[in-house]
Amino acid sequence: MNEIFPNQTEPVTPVQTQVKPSYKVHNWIALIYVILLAITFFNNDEGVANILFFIMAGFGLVAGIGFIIRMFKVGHSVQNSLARVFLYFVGIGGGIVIFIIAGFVALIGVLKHIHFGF
Amino acid sequence: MNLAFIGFFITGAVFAIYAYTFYSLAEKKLPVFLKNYAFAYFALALAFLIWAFAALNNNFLVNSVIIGNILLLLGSIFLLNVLFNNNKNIRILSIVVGIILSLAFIWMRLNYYQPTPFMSDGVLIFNTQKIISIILSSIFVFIWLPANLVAAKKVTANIPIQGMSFAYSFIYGISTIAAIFFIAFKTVPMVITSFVTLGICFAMLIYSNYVASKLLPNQK
Repeated sequence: MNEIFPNQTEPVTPVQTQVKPSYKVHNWIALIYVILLAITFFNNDEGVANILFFIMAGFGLVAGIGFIIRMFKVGHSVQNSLARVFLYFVGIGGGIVIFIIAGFVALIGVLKHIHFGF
Repeated sequence: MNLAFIGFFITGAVFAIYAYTFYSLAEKKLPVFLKNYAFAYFALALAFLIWAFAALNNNFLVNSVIIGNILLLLGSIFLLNVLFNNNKNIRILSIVVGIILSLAFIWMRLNYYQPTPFMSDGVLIFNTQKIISIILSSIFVFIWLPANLVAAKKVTANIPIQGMSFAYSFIYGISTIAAIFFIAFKTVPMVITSFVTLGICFAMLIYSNYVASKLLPNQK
């Protein structure tokens, strides 16, 4: 008999705690990116806007590479070969898309500045 | 070389392949209501193919945008079936409201915000008015994105492999974001780049259907 739950005859199996990945770095990258984006929109200097664009595209590159590494880590821990290759594929494709989209947003900032500068 | 024709034709064909593979998957291994999700992408594929042929015939450009908008709204109504599948009353109400709002949108588009698309360097620029762009983007954000996430959840519900749920949600979500960018852009380089992004997204989506078809057990 179980001492804690007298009516329960089956042995209590310990609950497995799952370690959740930390999103701290992602959050900081996203926050800095949004701040740079806001500066770009309200900036009047074309030279500064271009520098900001390159920094933001750099952030997109870092985030893209980070995503690739993360998906490769997850894929590496998976035993099913089909799922593993799929996760690698999503890592590479997703990383490229994140980089392009981050670059897009930066480019919008620059174009907005050039055409409709405040 | 007509870049718009090539781009829209390839993207439309990719959408159609994705819709077909998902339809096959829904028929054998997923809940039946997810067929609506495939119909939505069939509608979107048809819109892209119509824009491809409009790029070859400039007289058809304005009408093609209206027809494309109607197909997009039709696809959104199919997705309401996916979003509110659990509650019959809400589902019927949302579809009725969706149809009324769609008719209002088309009326507004015909009378007040007529499309002004043009071809530039072989690329079709939609040149969508700000209010129309905001409405279309909102449809993607509030209907297509959640419906994609519901579909991703349903597909991966029976795949007990770590990371698959995240991977599916990611590609379904990022594809919607890529589509919003595609509608929003008005310059040639950005339209071309958004085509590339959409292409990569749908390559991942089609591959995801293949993987799901192998990993999911048969339902019937």
